[in-house]
Amino acid sequence: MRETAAAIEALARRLMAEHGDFVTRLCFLYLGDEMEAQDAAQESFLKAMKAFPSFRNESSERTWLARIAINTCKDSLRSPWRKRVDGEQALLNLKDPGEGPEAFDDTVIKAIMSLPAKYKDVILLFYYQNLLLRDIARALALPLPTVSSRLIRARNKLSKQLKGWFFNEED
Amino acid sequence: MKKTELAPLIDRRLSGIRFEREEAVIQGLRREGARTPARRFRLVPALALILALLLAGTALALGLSLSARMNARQLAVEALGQSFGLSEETIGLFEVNIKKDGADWLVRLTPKNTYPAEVGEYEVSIRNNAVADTRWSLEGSAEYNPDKGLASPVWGQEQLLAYKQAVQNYYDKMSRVDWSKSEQWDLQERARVDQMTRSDQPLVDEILAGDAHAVPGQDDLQPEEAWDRAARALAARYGLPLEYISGMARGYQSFMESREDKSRWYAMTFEAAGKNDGEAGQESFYILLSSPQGEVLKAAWFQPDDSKRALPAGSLIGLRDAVEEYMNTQAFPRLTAARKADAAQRMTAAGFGDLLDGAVYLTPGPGQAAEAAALQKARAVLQDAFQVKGESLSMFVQDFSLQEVDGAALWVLRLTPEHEYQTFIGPTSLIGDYEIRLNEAADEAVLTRWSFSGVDEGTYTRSDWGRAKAYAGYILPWLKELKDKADAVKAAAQDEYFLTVAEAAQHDQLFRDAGFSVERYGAGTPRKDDISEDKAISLALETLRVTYGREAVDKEPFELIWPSYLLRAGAQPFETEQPFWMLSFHGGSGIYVVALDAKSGQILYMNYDPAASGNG
Repeated sequence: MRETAAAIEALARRLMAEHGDFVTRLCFLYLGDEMEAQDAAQESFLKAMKAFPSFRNESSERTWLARIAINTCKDSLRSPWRKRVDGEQALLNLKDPGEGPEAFDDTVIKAIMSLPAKYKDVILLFYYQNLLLRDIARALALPLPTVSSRLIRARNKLSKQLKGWFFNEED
Repeated sequence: MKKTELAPLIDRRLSGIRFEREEAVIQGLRREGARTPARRFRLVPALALILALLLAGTALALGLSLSARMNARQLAVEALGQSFGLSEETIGLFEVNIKKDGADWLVRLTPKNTYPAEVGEYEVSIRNNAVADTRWSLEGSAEYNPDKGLASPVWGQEQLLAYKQAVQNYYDKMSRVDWSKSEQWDLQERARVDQMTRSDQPLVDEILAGDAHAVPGQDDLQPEEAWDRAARALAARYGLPLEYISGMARGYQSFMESREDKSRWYAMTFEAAGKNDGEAGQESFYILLSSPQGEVLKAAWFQPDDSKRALPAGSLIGLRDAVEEYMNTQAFPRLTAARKADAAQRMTAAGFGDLLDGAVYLTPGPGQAAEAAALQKARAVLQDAFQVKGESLSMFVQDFSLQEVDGAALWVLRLTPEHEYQTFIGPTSLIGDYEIRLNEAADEAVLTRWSFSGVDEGTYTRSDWGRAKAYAGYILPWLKELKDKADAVKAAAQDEYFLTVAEAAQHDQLFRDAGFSVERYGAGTPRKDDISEDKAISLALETLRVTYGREAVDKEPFELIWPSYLLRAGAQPFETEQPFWMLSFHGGSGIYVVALDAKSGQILYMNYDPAASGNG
């Protein structure tokens, strides 16, 4: 029994080492608050470890964790105690990792954070997490065509907001 | 926007966010008897409604057949209508999860999106083919006040309908704008459209960063002057000739005002002349200039071809932004060892040694092997140790340098997968990184390392390597071959995102032939005794007419977005062991999806995403 517990801990440590930052950043992009993202990531890993026996390796660990994290964040967003967070303000609150003043441009990230949740899902998973459409469908438990249509609509929304900025006609 | 552009942008911005709760998770795991989350629902007395299969009966009369799961769904919809007034229209605002428990069913509706008010969750229990219980998590809430309309903190059916209509109105208004010409709009037109489309946004929740398009006033920097200043600022920032920037095409110019502090600025792009260079994209600069000051707020240089990106000539002093941007690309690793050492010296001289991540680069000199010979030797070691050779090398960024490591001069070859291969199969690269270190004479290997050593000791063939947990060197040629073939299918397709049934079958068969699972790559070719694609479409449309009314399907623009034929349900929200058709339609008010058994035409799944659920 002790060995089992030790094995679970070892597994948890590996998963957290390999995917901890990814899960936390994904949660931040959903919740817009660093502390809430830490809370959600912590909860996500605990849920993941409880559910690990049911992980059937049909997706990568990362996809599986992303799905758990997204559901955790969505639950958090629905909480009546949660205050609404402004996505841009959340970004501004982050410490600037660059040393130079305004080392980079936030236009795209702001645009993505302003998207309705279901568009944000597919854009982040497709462009940021580099999931295949099928993996996104798996992660979000949605039909593949729905994922595709959301991706196209999300791209259309972003292209309107970022026309000539990050989007070209050929993209 | 390309995949390669977004991930680095986000990672750079969020690089300060690191997971800090490892110990909390471990402590949580150690606590015995993890608490089972309490049910959210207040159970109300069972309604014990006995409903006939009304819709199923209608469907059967029209020659449609519903699966048991779909029957359960229709029973639940009827019950929710009777208990709470919900309709198919508003149910589209929720995810419908249908769970089988023996002969019983639990149908749960959870919000698809975050809405401006609490909408709660709904549950219906079905036992013995009859509704036993319906529940709404907010039933009896003191905050539910239908008289307040959309101002009620809790929304029921009436508010959901009103909200759905309001959002639909917004999207209708948006659709009347001809966005195809937006790139040519002048600043006045941008401000006008922005103002018009923003009026409903608090409800629709699409406010972009609180900034608004505006028209420059007399005291502002004027548009033409802004272009000139931007060109000069970019030339200075990147150490480039002014002619290089001013010779580019002017791209986009907008003038923005912060709603928060009323600060104003221009956003502008300069783009390389001509069309995009295929996948590599197009070189461009972008810049934000404050108004009226004309100060650079932000700037960036997109140079998709790393080989064309170089550090500014001459002294780098004062050019930290340019150097930092350069180091965040793959341009530096691709330099020869000698040029790396030169670049590193220049950076250190300008005070930017911190950007080298502690590496000490040396210039090859007398007593050391010649660079070309050393690289050849390192590749030979790589081949002997890991079977990475030939064309497989093109799948990696090869970073070769002479470095001082623990007081010794060593030749270091590092291979990291090119982005396109790193992400080809899935989100986690199974290719791994390689590192070879040789002594300075390049006649002895002091380190050979593959980051995935020991992960998978199995031996695979060309037809089953898709099952491997790590792609060893001998697998890489098969991976490259698969990617080339899959890319060719997509390149020949009418639409990369919406492959036709035949194209998708061809694409997924490539993966199945390599050992990937049919659950993941499930597109197939219809069998002879399957219903045809046309018949499947016809049945799907009839199902939608029965469910949502003829007007929804026949009187508004309604088009098939994507037909697909899948061999396995995989991650679909329904179960079947048989191939099925899945058809997606776009109507003016949302997206409709219907899945049917490929042979019998039985309806397996149906979903509606109205604009108000986020699918505008």
